Amino acid sequence: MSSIENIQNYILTFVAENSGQENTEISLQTNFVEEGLLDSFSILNLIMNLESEFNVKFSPYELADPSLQVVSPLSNAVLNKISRS
Amino acid sequence: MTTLYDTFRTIAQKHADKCALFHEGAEYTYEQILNGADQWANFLLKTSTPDRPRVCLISEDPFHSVTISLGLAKINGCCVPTNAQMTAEQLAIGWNAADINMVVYEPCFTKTIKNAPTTSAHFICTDQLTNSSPDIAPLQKTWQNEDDFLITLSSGSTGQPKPIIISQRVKLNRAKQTWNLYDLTHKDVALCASPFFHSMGQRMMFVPLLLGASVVHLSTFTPAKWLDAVERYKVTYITAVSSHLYGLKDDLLQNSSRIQSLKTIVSSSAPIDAGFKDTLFNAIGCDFHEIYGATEIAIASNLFPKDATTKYATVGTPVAGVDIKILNEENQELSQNKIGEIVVKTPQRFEGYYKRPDLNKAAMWGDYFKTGDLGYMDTDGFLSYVSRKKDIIISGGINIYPGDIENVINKNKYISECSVIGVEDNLLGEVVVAICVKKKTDQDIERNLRILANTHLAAFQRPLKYFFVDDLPKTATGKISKMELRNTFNKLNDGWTDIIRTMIYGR
Repeated sequence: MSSIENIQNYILTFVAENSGQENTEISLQTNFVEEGLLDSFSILNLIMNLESEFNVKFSPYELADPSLQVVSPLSNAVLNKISRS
Repeated sequence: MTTLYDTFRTIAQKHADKCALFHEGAEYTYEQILNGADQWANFLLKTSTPDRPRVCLISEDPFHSVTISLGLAKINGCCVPTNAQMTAEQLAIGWNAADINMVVYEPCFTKTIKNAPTTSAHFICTDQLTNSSPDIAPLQKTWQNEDDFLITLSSGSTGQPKPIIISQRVKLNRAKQTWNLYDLTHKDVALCASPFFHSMGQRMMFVPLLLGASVVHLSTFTPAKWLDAVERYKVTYITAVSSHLYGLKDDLLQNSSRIQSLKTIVSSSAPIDAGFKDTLFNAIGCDFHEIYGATEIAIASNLFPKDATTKYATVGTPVAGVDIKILNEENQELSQNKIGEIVVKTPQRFEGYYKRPDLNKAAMWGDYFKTGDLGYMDTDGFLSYVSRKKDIIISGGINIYPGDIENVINKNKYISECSVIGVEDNLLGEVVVAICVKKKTDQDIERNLRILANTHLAAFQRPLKYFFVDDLPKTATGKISKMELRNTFNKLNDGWTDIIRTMIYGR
């Protein structure tokens, strides 16, 4: 069973490794879209990786919610999906 | 002059009693093949008069393929080996493209022939010769033109075949090129597991038979048959399409003691990944070469074993007499390490595409043949193949080379084969998709592959989707059919990249 910490760490690591920017502070409140940390390929990759890693599925409609551009709410959304499955 | 036939006759007379061809339990001596060729020469001459015979050959029996093609060489006719699995409509297109006036077929293809559209060509079943009394009397006449001895119908992407013309002189020179590259002699035993309608099948028959060596022919390729044949006939030399070598992957490594007769394995037709090449080389211990070439130009480059350790990711250096350049989109020569189209100047070049001046013009840059392949030359003069120009994936305006991604996926030990294609996408133009064949395992392969891709590939190179199938579709010559994969998987994209639109633009 994945914990919220696992999910948060997974997203934080992914953003850090794919941001292409060294020494950037990434926290649970980081908005990786607005701050330009991830390009469109990396965003697509992040969602695909979350779906594969945690066995969940997002619809494009759900992802229109701007809060999911931030690490913490996105982690919560993944955990909610795991809990419901 | 009938260059190819004359060369074969000299060799056949010298090695008359030697077994030249082994096929499905049957054995044929050089004398039998020469007699067969002479009989066909007379038969076809009588049947075709007054026109020069232009023969569509539909044959899976190598004795027929060899004797009929050599018979045609003797009378300076034209031979068009054709894939028997083609539809009636495709056959008709091929006959038209090569101006066929005669179709020679084996009895098992009678139904195919009957379904084909009406044509004015003569139809001759191979039984007609087998059942007639032998006639090897000296020829009364022949034609003079030997320039279009052999026409290979390459499958074009538009459905129109490209009729590739090879003269007798070039066919012989190509055989000599192979003898010299791999130090072959009449003592060698070759294995041919490719059909005669493909240039590889023709090469693997003519190379040994014009030298006085022996050839073992397999009608169908399976790892078990291949291993049995190598062991039983003590095969020494093989040029195989890389898909066969991939198919043999584990069997080769597990049965290395059975195939110690092998002196030379040459991988052809598609790049083979460096890790596999290295493993194979170490397990079997024989010389392992990788070549780059095309039906139009024969072998352009060869990676010799001495270079395998340091240059394993390349397809070697240009072979003797061949010059290779790299061009950009404006046909300007590129410097080292820059990716562009591979163009090749070689004395083994084809005569052109039959009655296709449009193709001939588009295919040439001066004396250089434009391969349609992308690659680059390194500072040491080694050529690297990148991909077919048409297989390049353009996603979000970025050029992505499928081979780079396939090499990474093939690192996973549970993957036996994979192909990466671009699937049409409304937002990005194309997206990267990997279609994989996995070995029997309960492992969550997709998760592992995503980790692998995250580690070794840039975000734009990572497959958006992974699909797992039992088999990849292959062309008749054993190459993975990316065209078929694209047709299948294009239909599945029901908005895969909508995520980007909603997440970035909120709509």
